[in-house]
Amino acid sequence: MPDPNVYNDRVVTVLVVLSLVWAIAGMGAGVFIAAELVWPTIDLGQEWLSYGRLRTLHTNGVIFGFGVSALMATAFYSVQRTSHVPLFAPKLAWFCCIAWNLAVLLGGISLLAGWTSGKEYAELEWPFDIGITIVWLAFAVVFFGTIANRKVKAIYVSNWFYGALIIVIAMLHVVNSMAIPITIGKSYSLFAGAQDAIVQWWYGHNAVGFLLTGGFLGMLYYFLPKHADRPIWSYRLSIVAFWAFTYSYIWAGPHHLHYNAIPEWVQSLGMVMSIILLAPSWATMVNGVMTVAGAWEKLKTDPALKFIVLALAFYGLATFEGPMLSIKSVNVVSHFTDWTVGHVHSGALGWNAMITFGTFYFLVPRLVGAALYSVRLANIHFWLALAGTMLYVLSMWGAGVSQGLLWLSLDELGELSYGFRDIMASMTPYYALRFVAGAIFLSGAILMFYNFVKTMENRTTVVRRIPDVTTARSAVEAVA
Amino acid sequence: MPIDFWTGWVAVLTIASLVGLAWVSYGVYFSGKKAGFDEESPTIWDENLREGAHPPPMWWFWTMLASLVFTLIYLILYPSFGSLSGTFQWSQGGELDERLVAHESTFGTRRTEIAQMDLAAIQEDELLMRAAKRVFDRQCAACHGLEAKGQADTFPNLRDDLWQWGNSAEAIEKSIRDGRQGIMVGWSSVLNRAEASYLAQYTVALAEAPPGSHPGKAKYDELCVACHGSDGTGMEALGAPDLTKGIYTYGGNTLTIKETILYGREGVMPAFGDVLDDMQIRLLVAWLTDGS
Repeated sequence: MPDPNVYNDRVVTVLVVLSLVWAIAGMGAGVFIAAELVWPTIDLGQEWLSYGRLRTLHTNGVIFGFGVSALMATAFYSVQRTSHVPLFAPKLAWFCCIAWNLAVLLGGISLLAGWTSGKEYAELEWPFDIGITIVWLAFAVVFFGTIANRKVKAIYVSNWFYGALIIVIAMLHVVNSMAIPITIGKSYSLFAGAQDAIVQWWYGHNAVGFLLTGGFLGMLYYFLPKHADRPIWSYRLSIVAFWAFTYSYIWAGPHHLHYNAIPEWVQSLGMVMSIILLAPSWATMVNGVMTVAGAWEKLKTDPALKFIVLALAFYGLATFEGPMLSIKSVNVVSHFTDWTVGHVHSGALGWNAMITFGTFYFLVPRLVGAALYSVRLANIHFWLALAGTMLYVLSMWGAGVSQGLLWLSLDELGELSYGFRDIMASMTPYYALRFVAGAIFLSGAILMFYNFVKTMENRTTVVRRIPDVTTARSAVEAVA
Repeated sequence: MPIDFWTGWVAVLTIASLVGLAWVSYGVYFSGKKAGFDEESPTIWDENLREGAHPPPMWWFWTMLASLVFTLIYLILYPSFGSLSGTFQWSQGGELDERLVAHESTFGTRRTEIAQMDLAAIQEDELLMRAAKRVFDRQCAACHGLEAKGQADTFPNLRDDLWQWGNSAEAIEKSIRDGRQGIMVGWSSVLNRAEASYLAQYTVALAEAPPGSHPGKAKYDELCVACHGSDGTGMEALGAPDLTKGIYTYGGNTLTIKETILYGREGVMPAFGDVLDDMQIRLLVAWLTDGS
């Protein structure tokens, strides 16, 4: 029988380690396919090493392996502490941890073997889709069960974001994955043509919205004030931003399908809702920056806070760029170019990975009861991560904008000025730069992994007891 | 303007969402209620984790309001709720038409002139030949290869002497505009494998010198002459290739030729008459006949 007065942190530790392993594997696959775009023959003629298969391994590895493991870890960690109770159904939490990572591992192997539903970011075939649904429901039971048991009346804002993550991803995953199985490894979507495209991007964009943005905002709202040792600057701004964010994000998907064979009013709504999104996104960024304001001196010495603040800056950049790209006249140039890839990575590297790194530098020493092995290595990691991200984003902006403009350019006969092949060939320097950028970023992650391994060598047993006094308010009420 | 059910459905959902957004924003700023917040004794969630009492900044409220107003204006001007097309009457099909008209009025005259130019004159104009090469790269190279030398033992080489449908400018233009369907009949129900082997060897021999007597000749004269002719020079009207040139689209070793004889071949050149305009086809013909 587990002690009801102690937080369940071992499952958090395991999830953090698994998340780190996925970070290296997923980013490693990314660097390899970046190299394939410069030297196409390094796949050695092997199907499983080809760009098409490794690309899905890259995206699934970083989003679902690295990202979701980190989200589960931080959700489990913070929901207990903001509710003052241990996890509800801790065995189910272990099930989430193990089954999820098994699903990503076996799913990754199935992708290498060529199984795919062909839906971007939802490539795993139907047996995995069913497994993911079960694990996700278990995640929901653990999380909302803990919330239901809470001893603090008000639900903290990070839990609103984690809750939205769990509910919305469940909805998106189930609807988008509906398919008719043909064999164990192949199924066909229940939706056809333009409907399939709309459902796919309703899923795809809201996976970005509620997993890569909303979920990680949960991480931000717990770990930023915790680490800066300041209250959230304006708690009410965080709540109104939450509702504005959830309300408008769910409409934004069709901006992936501008000028396509979907109804024009769907495109219009996708565009205007994307523009509205700028307001709640920047509300969160400003709230975060103002929360750190006054704790700036900590940035000099604390690599964890540096990562989190830099993540906020990239969050602000990516959430400004997103609404701009959703404007139809901008999209004419940017669509189908590497600009989109740059935009995604300014979010994925600059925001998601950085905030996770910052959180882990905060979390790991606390979880294992040992000081960080080397602050110096963490600082080097910070600069590698910043350099890698900047180089990546700049090279893809260069590539994307030139692709967009060269594709549209006409000569004096009214013919396209440049052949697609010529433009493709001119991309080599940009792609080489992107490969270098990815390698720099990956080397930083490997440094962090080494740092944590050395930290864990000094681990001690940590037991975090739940504090007796639940809230100041209840203490005040007791006095009255 | 009649409004059908689904238009109304979309309109109600959208407007309700926008009103909901405005209401939430307004409520947080102006309701006067603190909605569960107690600034005197704020909730402590986790040691130093507590709510900050700073009021949300007014500029954010105006930003939110401005984006909602922009949204409403945009949705009135452009296609918005189901069948409502917006007061600008804008459509992406309409925009495409406008661009095509603009393209025609800018370049139309010049393109018509080029479409009627003499092939030799086009071939002397470097600018036109470069444009022709780009059209080829874009529309033809995927099958015929970047150097137009064919590929994959499937797509014909356009830089050799074998033009099974004819190498005149007219024949090439017809191939591009209307496409071609070449069918080599398979003879596996008529020939045994030994006979097919002899036939394959005979066609290879045809390329060197017509042999007087050959074990494959009897079957050739029976089955092949109708299309490929008694001397093996083929027939352009049917797309039956000339066998005396020693050039084989599907591969020239005797084993592959035997396959072709036994199981036949089907070749399709798609029609590009609807994809390319007269100038582009003229440029391609000039580029393909250059130096021939």
